[in-house]
Amino acid sequence: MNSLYHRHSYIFIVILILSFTVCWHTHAQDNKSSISGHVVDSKGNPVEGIDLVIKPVIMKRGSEEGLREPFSSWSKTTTDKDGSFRLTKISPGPSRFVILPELGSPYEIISIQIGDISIHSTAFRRSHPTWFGKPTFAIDPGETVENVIVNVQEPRMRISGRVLIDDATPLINTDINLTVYHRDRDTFLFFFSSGGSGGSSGRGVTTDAQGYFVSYAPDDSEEYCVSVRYKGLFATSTWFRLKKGQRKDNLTIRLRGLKKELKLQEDREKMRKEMWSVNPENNHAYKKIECSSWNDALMKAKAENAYLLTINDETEQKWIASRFPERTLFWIGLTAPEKGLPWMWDDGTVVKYTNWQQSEIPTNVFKSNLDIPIVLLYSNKKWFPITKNNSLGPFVKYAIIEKDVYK
Amino acid sequence: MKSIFPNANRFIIIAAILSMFITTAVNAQYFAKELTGRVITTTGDPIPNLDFGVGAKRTQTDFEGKFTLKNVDAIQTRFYFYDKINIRAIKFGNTAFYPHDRDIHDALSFSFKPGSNITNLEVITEPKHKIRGKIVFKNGEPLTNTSVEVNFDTLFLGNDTGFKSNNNIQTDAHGKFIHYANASGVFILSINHRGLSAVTPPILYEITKQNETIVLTLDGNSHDMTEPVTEGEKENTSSGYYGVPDIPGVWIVNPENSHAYKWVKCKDWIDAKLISEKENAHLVTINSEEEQIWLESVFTHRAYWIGLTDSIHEGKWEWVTGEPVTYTNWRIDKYVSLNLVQSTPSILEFNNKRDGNPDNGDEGNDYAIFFGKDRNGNVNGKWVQAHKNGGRGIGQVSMAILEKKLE
Repeated sequence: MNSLYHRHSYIFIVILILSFTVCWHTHAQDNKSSISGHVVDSKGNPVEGIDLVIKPVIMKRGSEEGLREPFSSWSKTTTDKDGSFRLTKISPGPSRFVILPELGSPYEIISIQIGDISIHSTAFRRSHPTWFGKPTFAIDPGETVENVIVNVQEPRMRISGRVLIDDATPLINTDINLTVYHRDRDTFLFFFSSGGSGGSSGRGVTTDAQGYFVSYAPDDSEEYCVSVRYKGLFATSTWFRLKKGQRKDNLTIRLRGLKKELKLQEDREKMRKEMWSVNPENNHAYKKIECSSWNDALMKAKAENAYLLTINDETEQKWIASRFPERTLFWIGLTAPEKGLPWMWDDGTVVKYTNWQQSEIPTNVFKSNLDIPIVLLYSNKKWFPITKNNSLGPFVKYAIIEKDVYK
Repeated sequence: MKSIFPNANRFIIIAAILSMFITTAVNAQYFAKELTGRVITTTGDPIPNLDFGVGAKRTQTDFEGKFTLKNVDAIQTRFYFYDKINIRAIKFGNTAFYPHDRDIHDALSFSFKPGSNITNLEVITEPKHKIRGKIVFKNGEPLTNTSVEVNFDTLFLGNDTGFKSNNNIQTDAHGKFIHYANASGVFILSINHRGLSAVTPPILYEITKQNETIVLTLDGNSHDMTEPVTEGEKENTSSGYYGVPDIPGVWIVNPENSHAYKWVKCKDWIDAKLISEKENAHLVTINSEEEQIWLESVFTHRAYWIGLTDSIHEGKWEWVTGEPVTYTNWRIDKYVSLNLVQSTPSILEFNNKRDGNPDNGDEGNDYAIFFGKDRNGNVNGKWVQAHKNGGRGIGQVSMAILEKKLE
């Protein structure tokens, strides 16, 4: 955010120095900004009783990456009789106006007007309307913005509700798969009809900080029903009627047995991670492990009575390539333990076979003044030497470990 | 027409002129009188001589990044950037507005108060991120003014997945090229050009940093190049994440039961069965949860044929080896019944049914698939019933798992 205030950077620096001399806490307080104005509908009438909040978001390259602060600390207010509001203690940084509940509120924000300029939600713009564009703004630290007009309208053909886990805890900020089923009841043919016409559409939906979801229904059906799929669980709402232009709020969908299901999946994942596989050519066992560094991998290998992967010939290289086809980087056991010493395998064997991506690189690195080189095996193909302090190091999350005899 | 309205042509012209006046007169109230501001980078530096548009108006910034636009469309207008620039925020007064999620190309929708003067708007932008590269021959000579297909192998190091993309780049007179990246990542660049090839080590590319020029050194000199290949002769090199690996499968032993397993490429289930017989093996039979979990940990591509079929006795699933079916891991699909008589949704469950329509029989879905991973790249392991060459929502299944006992 600081970058936005470059024009006042010297002031900012002065403030920064001052704030440090006073105390960090005070500085944080002084940073807060406020915003006030009115909420009006499409006819310009004030809207009373709206729960308005400022949602602090993390924006990255135009995308919302997540929340900056938990729901409990969002700045909240309720509009009064003339639709007016005042929100204070807003932390600096990208924020959004949100009417609670965020998904499934009685109104949708169309645009925000500040002075002579209005910013529109992309859902209601003239060309290329899209559902996801919500006005996001940042107020300069400590500043106050007044006379803001928040234009709202009532949603149409919108279905909203909450996903609750069996003990009634809302499933918050979670990606779920949501399907809207719809059917028509032909009253004249009712007795003759064994099934309804209709259909469904499944899509990914994210629940909000209170566990609400929102979806939009086609307007040509009579009865609707919502189903939610999450982590192998499936639950539905009841059938409900929805007339053209109306909306349906407060649906409740309960996911039962989630804890049990998650535990089951977790156990399975753990079991998968314990699985070794054996190369019938040499009867050695191999396993992929997660690690934070080469040294960490080394320690984890020892703990399993194994060593970091040693590749002794082309047959083994080919087997490894096929067994671990992931497009990722693995640490293997090749290292030059000290400058001046030759490459050695972690298990102590002499280097007989190499599969360097560029034959000249290892010696170059080796002779340089850089740190001790260690080796990466890229995916199924080649080996790359990198030094311990190479910036790529922290990105290598896996290693392959090996042992001569299984069990 | 002429005979009925002899003066029709003249009439139309007059009407057209009149309507133009009217339109102009009406539209006058939909323009902001003047819009002035600056285009700057996130660090506050001006961007001079930048072409951009606001609504239907096009303009260019001056040497200080400043611009002035008159009679700007006041209703839901947008900023357009034609150059390699992304918009980060638009700031007026003490408030900055951010572009919408996933909508950064056309940025924000604005309205201006008709007849207003908007001054000192700050358009904060960021150049798109350039990956700079250079292609040279073995002797250091650059590969100049050539269109080359560069393979970007992107590694996601946090999890298992990654992807390949082919991009046509154009080298300049110094062999240099530029590619635009949206995100940080680790890449391996490779090219195959007229018989010569080059590959880089893994390169950590960070969009926030100044990155070094990537040098691709070909394994030969210009006189080693083969004749250019015409478009039609080009090999299809697509090997997406769900694609079949470009390396052969190998026998992998499960140390718990000493059975060996291997994936093979095949045309369909029948073909897979023939291949298994040639290899003195059989299509995999899964007899316990332990075996299932071991397979999940090893076979991580999208989908494989397994040795389970009901092609002999419709509805009776049997292993190809004749072993009794003691364990199953069918995917259970759940759907809401659209039956009109029911007022509460009844959930229909289908073991392994492909299309979920209860009215369609099982006929033709006679063979079982083992899902290595789901669409999101998560381990799945579920079994699904399909036609002999695949099915709707799965596509062609061209891999199978073989199993054999070790002697």
